[in-house]
Amino acid sequence: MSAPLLSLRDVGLRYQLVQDDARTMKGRVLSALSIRPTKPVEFWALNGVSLDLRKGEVVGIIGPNGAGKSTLLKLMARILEPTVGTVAVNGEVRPILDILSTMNGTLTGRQNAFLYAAIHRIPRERMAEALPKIEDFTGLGPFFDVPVKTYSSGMATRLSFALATQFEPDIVLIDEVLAVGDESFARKSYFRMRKLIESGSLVVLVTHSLGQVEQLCNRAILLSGGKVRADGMPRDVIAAYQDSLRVGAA
Amino acid sequence: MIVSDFREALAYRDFLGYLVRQQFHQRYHGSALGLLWAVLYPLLTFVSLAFVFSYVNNWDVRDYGVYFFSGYIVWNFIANTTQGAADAITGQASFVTSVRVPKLVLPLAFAIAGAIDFLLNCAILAVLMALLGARFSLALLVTPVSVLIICVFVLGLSLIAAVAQVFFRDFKFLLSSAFFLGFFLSPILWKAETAGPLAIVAAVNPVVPFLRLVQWPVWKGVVPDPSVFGIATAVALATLIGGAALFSHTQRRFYYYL
Repeated sequence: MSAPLLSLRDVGLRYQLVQDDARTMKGRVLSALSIRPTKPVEFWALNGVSLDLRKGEVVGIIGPNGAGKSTLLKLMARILEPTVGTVAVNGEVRPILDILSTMNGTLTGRQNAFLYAAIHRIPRERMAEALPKIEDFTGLGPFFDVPVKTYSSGMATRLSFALATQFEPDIVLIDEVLAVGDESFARKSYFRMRKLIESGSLVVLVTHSLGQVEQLCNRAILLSGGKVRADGMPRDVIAAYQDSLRVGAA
Repeated sequence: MIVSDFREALAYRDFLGYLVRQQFHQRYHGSALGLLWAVLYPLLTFVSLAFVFSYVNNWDVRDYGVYFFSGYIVWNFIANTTQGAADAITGQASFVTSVRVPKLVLPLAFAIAGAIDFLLNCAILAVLMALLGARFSLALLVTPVSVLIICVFVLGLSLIAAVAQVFFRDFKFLLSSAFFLGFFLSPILWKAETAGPLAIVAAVNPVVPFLRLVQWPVWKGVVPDPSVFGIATAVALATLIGGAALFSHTQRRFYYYL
């Protein structure tokens, strides 16, 4: 078996919910006088998570809201550091998490492609070379040279998906974006995903669409309360998830 | 840890370049005169303040103008850059919460943009000196060293301001009040030698050595005392090391405060 591309060992993340008051002078003064304490509320968003993810795996992460799915993805993207345990990343990670928020609305799609390259340390020349393909894939036509702030959310998503999947990175992290876009783009992105998978990338996908997990993934992980509850074949894990929902409803 | 933070930041050169360009773009984009404002605005303050205060101080306007402007550009570099950098993290939260880039790049870009502005102002000062017939002494040869020391100081202050604003949202207002007061408590509009009781303020004001590093070679035509260089270098290095240590130590917690 090949060495894992992503390896999490006993990972725990203590999340801090900081109250707005804790950041203001009024809040600090009241807190210091013990009139209204502003100690951050802390909870373990993830606890005792150990996972080995390998080349060629397409992993669907499922679970109820607040299970820690997005937090897990942010750990894999190294945006968050674990409070305990280790996250070892063995390759180039390309998260498709929240590309839109780091885009600059006043820049055009083309300029944002170079901003994306700068953020992800893709050499300018490599981006310049890939640009025609990206432009073509987005299907944005003349809008590719128009400021991104004028884009519809679907158009912006197409641009970010095209950017994140163009360079066939070792590890692709996706948080609920495949559902966006019209019928024809959804098909295009599905084929792009298949190609990524065939090229041997590790794909980690957080989604609420169990159908998508069954269709795309060859491994599923059920997360609940910050812990891994099931890990295995998508069909089995989905069944376990549905069982847990039924128990909860009863 | 501090050194590796800086090394990582420099590996993101393209991103750093984007952020620096963005500073100038945001400031002047859409205005009819664009970047020309970077020259016009300091000129306007120079002309108005030099005339008013040379009259108030009963001081020859040409001599006073050179004195005032040489301190004023140093002050502006320190004050404007630090106040701008207070927004480096809070104003660009998505670069902390959505992608993994070295966070140090964010305040670093403010310091670099501020330094570019400062160098531009130095060029304006040189032109004004030529126009006013001021003396260009050999002491000016030390000014590159002066500029370097001031840059180190400003970078340190920028790091501290960026961190402080994350954890303490009133910081910006405190900072601008402090700088407003500090401007009048520093020998920029007035001269320490003739300031009477204000001279005591000048003696303990930590910004004064940085002002002297430029004021003396430019206006007096003399190389500042080694003690001025020594104090300025010590304050600058302490600020940078302190700021970088603070930044390294707290950056993992930024995410939760944004």
